[in-house]
Amino acid sequence: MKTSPETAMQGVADIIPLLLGTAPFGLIFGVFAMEMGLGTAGGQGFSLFVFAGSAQFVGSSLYGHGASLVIIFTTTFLINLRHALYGAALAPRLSGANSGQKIFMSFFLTDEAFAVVSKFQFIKSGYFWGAALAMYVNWQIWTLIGLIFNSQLREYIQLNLGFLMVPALIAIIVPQIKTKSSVLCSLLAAFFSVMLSDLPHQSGLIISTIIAIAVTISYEYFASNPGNPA
Amino acid sequence: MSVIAVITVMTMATFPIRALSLLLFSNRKLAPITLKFLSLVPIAVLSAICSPLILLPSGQWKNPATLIEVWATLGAIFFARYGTLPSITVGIGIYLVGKRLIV
Repeated sequence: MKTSPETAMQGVADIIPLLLGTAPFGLIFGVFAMEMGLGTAGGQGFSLFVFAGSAQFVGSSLYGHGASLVIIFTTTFLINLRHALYGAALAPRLSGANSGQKIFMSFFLTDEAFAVVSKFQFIKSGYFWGAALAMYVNWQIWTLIGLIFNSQLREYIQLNLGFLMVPALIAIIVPQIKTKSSVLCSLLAAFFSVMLSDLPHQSGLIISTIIAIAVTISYEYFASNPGNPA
Repeated sequence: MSVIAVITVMTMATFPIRALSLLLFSNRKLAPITLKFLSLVPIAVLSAICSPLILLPSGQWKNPATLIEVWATLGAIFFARYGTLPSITVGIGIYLVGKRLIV
């Protein structure tokens, strides 16, 4: 798909499946934040001002266990490094937005918003805002519910509710995997992310992504230039 | 240590990464290999995010055939050809039913 739809409503509509998938995450975060002693205002403050799912979990855990601010900063920074790839990938596609708008947009650049808008080679601002703000509001609401009803929800946390996001992401990835290169890239990223899952601060995610892309580009190069020595 | 300080520090470790990367790569003529790299980022990152959740739900390696997450994923992949909603419905449906049966 070349250009995204223009309207914010279409952005909202396209991200709805992911809103359903991330709702349990928000709930769990609310419960977890209370467990870690952040309190209702603190837990909601995390979602309002940090707005980075996995980093919020790790940050609140570190806070709960008495880690220093330096440790919290470093860990959060490392976990969010993948967002540098998101920003780099989206920058050329948001050609209609000026620098000021892009700074504002970047705050709302989450895994889910990226998954939805990155399907397009050119992204209209309205479409981005629809998807991104819907995710933001959704995250705030479910965090709040988790914070308020934390004692009742605690027993459900035994389930691997984080998995509920996976079918939504799969529904987005699969239509993008059309060529041999994209299949190779996806499989390599999957393989290495599992192999490197024990690395600290989710660094395996970034390393596996870079390995998968580098190998795929090399494969494409040698496949299209068979005369070159490998 | 106050919660406000933690929120401030975490915001400082999150927002600049997003903003700088978005700004640094804007309005620049990028080399073809850079564009190729960036075009593969969505597939690679999303695959890398999903795989450990599917194959290592408990954090340890187990026979994939015994994992309900794997079956739910296969269902979601198969139904992806029919659209987003069927894919998600089938994937989550298999997972929740399977979990209920196992528990």
